[in-house]
Order: sequence, then C-alpha cells, then structure tokens
Amino acid sequence: MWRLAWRNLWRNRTRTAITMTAITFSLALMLISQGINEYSYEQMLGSADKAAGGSVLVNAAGYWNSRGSELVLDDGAAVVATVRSALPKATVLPRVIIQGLLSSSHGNQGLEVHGIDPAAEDSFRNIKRYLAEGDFLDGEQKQPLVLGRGIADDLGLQLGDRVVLTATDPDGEMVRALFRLSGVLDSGSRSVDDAAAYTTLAAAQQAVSLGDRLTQVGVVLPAAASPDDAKRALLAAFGAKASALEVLTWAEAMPEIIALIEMDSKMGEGMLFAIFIIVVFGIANTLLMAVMERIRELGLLSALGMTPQRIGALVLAETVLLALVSITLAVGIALAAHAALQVYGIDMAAFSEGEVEMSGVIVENLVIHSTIVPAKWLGAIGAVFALVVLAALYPAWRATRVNPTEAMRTYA
Amino acid sequence: MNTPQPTQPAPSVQADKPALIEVRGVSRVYKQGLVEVHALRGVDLDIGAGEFTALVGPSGSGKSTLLNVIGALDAPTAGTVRIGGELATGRSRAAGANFRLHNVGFVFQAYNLLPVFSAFENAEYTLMLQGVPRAERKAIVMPLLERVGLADMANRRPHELSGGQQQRIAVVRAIAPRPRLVLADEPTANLDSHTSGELIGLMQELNAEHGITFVFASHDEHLMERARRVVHLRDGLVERDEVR
Repeated sequence: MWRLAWRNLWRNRTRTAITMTAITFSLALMLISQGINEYSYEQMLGSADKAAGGSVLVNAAGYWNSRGSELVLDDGAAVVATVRSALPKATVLPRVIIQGLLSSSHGNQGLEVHGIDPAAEDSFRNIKRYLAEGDFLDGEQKQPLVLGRGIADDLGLQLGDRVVLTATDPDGEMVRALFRLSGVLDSGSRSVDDAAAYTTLAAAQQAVSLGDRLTQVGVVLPAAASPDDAKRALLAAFGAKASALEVLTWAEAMPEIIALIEMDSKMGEGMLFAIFIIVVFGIANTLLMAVMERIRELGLLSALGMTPQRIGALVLAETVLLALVSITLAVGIALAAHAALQVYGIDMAAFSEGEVEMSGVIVENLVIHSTIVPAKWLGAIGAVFALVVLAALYPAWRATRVNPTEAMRTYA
Repeated sequence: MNTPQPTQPAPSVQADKPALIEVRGVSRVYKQGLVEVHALRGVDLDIGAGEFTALVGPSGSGKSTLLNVIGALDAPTAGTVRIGGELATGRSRAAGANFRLHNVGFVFQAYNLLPVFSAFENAEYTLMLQGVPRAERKAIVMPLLERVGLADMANRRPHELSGGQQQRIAVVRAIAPRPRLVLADEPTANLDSHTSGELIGLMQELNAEHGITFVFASHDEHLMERARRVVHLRDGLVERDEVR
C-alpha cells in the first residue's frame, strides 16, 4: 500500500509540488517566527531584571505596591551584609528611592529619584553609556543629579543648574533638598529620557533624612543562577526578620512582562495557526480533487478486492507521506534559517531610532537571532501533521464510498 | 414500465461439470431519474467449474450487469448468486471486496492497469492484496509472464506496452491468485482481430491448463466461436443457452 501511495503522490508532480510548498512554507514560517520570538522573549527576560532593579529585590514589607516613603529598610547595612553573606557571588545594589517633585525656575515635574552606588549600578544597568553631557555621579558635585534628556529639557536645565526636590521623609514630614544637574542621559528611549533621575546614595539619604537607612537592596545574580533559589536562600538568611521584609524575584516584581510574553506568544501562535487552517482547507480541496480524479482507479482497486477501509487507508497513506516529506523540507528550511540567524542575525537597529523598549524593558541587543525550543517545535510539527491528516479524512471517506461498477462505468 | 414475464430456458450446466456458479432469480433494476431500467429480469443460470462460457447479446441485453452481479461487483435487486456454494450476493462492501479478492479474477475492456506500477507489479497486485510474500509472488508471476510472452517487459509501465500486451498483463493479474473463476467484460473489444485472436487463444490455454472457469461478456464473434458454451441474453433474460 505504501509503495502505491508513494507512487500516487508523484503521478501529478505539479499538484503535489504546490501542495507541498503550501505545507512546507507555512510550517517553516511558523518554526522560524517561533525561533525569532523565543529569542526576543529571551532578550526581554534578560533585560527585565534590569528594568525591575535586580534579579531579586529586598524592600520593606509592602513597599513594592505602595511605594510609601515610610517603608524603608531600617538597618540598611545589616540587610546588605546578610545578602552578601547568603549570596556571596551576587552583586548587591543598595538604593534609596524618593518619590518627589523636581522644581526649577521653568517648572515642576513629578518623578522618582534613585540614590545609587554609581559604579555598582552602572556595572548592572550600564547607564553610563547613555551619558550625553557631564558626568555620571563621579564628579566634584556634592549634591549631583543626573537626569534624562526629556526631564532636563522640560525643566529648562543646563549642566550646573540648581533644582529643588520636594519629597516626604520616612516620618511623613515634607522636606526640600537642593541638587545640581551634573549629567544628562540621552538613550532615545522614553523610559530613560523622560524618567531617569539618579543621585548618589549619600545625597539621597541626606535629602530625605534617612541616615543609613535604605529603600531597597537590589541583588544581581550570576547568569545561570535561579532567582527563586536566591529568594529562598535570602528568606532563610533573614530568618525572623523576613516578616518585616519583602523579597521579590524580578518576575514577581514585574509580572506584566511574563504576561506580555505569554500573550504575545499565544497571539503569534494563534495567528500562524489561523494561517495554517486556511492552508489546510486548500490541502483538503486538493486531496479531494486527487481522489475524484482517480475515482475510476479506486473503483478498479475495489473490483480487484481492496476493501473500502484499505482504499481509505491508501488515501491517508498518501497524505501521511505528503505531510512527512513537507515537514522534513520545512524543518530543513527552518533549521537553515535558524543557523543563518545565529550567524548573521537581523539588525533591528536599522528599523528603529535609539533603544527598543517593550513594556518598559529596554531591549539592549538589537540584533535578532533565533532560539529553538524543542518542545514548541515538536508541538508545531505535530499540530501541522495532525491537521494535514485531518484534511485528508473527508477525501479518504469519499474514497471508501466508491462503487466499483459505477466508478468504472461513469469514469470510463 | 411494463415488465415482461420471464421466459427463459431452465438453468443448464454442462453435464460433465459440477455447477460452480448458481444464479437464481436475479433481477437488477437501475433508477435513472424517475425511470426504472430493468437490466436483468429474474435470470437463472448455472455455470460449471472449468467452463469457457460467453454471455452474448445486443447492447442493453444485461450481459455486463450479469457479469458484475456474478462477480459481486454489483448487488442484484432480487435473487441470489452462489459461487462454489458460497453466497456472492448480500454482502457488505468490505465482505464483497474480500470475496472478489479470493474467488474472482477480472479482465476489463480498458485493461485497467495501474499506471504507476510496472507490468510485474500490476500482475502481482492481487497476490499482494492477499498478503502473499514477495518471493512467492515472484515465483508465481514470473512464469505466467513468461507464459504470455512478456517476461522481458516486466519492468515496463503500462503506457510503454501495446493494448494487447496490457490485456495479457491484465489476464495474468486475474489468474495469478488461482481464482475459482475469471470474469471478462469485453476483453477483446479494444484489440485488433489478430491480437484479439491471440488473447482468446491464451485464455483458452490457461483454461485448459489451470482449469480456471472463464465467463465472458462479449460481442466478439471470434470469442463466441471459440467458447464451449454461449449464453444468449436479450432484454435482461436468458434467451438461448448453447453448449458445444
């Protein structure tokens, strides 16, 4: 049966080639775009911890959602020491985060000022590369402030100009602090240019009378380390004090990133699936035509003693072979495209100005490569195979209904 | 439509042959729109094992229909057909196919070889459907191809063979599984008289050598002349039954 099926497949080469092309290219497209999407998601996930502020964040309990100025880490030094001892390979980033109003002679702007350890923070976020003017908190200024280009322009600030930050201290008192613009960041991304405001840890602590208290400790893990494992280790290390703290992995801090990826992934898959469904109708039509064209021959097979079940199985066998050849070609094309993308990539910088931002995450690597997730590839291949065979069910059923005398008389 | 009363001779069988085919009261009515066409009107006929019988008659006499009913290709509207005592009628599609596979060989007017198969593959096809192993199939088919003078063309596709050669392959396909009977519907209609004569001779020889029962539906006078029994049909009934 398989021999007959194989030869039948090639008796109308043009039709078989067209059907195969439809299956091959739609599956190849599915696999290639899946590879590109997976790579993009990896990039997003790789950059998401930067957007969150670290692989794991330690705040006072309730801070992440409320951002209340009273929610601070009272013994900042002890928290930092505990983190360093629990995760010796991690980079620890102490921060003071101030929600406040920045005022100049030109106007006011509400924003979040980050008091940071400049060298440590830059080693993680690589902020310094966006520096367009001045310095990044390593100059002579005592109350330095680095702002994004958009904020500096809105407030009409030049390097060295004074600005006043009005905020609330941990006791709920309104405080005002003077800063001088020491640097301007220009990334091309609105999330940086319209929001970034950095000062030193000491200047921030002084501005809101924090002493040595901190708002947050960011923890940056080595590449292969699991944030969940690190969180467990930290909770164990904090012991009884953990109840006063909030330890979040970046995924818990920014669940919208995961949701976005899931939604994007499902939408992409749905779209490709819809395209393939359309292709399947075309395939079903072609297979039905192939059956109707051979009705006399199927009648002959029936006359010779082939049972209806075997005749139906013959049509299905032809389809299975068609699907297997097409899938093999599609996988070959997709692997070749994957290999080419690994070597050359697609430089998205050519299509965008400045940084590419997705859901608040700056995607730093603008050269798109491809990542194969074997389970997803196998899923797509299995779905395509099943759909193609499904498309053959009706033609196969029609083939089983062939009446040998009618077929041979009518189609003589 | 008025249905004439059946008037036909009693089913006859050559005295020295046991009845292989028993046709009893077979009618076949086709509906063409609102019109009923009575192709067979209650045919009774016995054909003995090893006979070389021709069903003859004008177009529309019912000879092809009778052949199809005997071969379980078509279901009669009424009546029964037994082959070797086994009911050939009233079977499901699958059971009918199985019955044909193991009991009946067919030779058609238009040869009906599978175009994607070689002469050898066509000839062995029914054996393959029966599940006969490859080596055994070859051992059966090659001598038959030699017998019909086509062994050296075994690898040719049907379009590379003449009409006569294709029909000889069809005959080999029909007899290879050693069926109880071979039914041939106008087997010589597409052949010239010389090739037709050769094919009839070949079938006669195979009939004599292997004892396979041959039943033809034909207009071919050569075939009628060489048949040992000629059953004349007219208007769906046996008009005359000549045993020579």
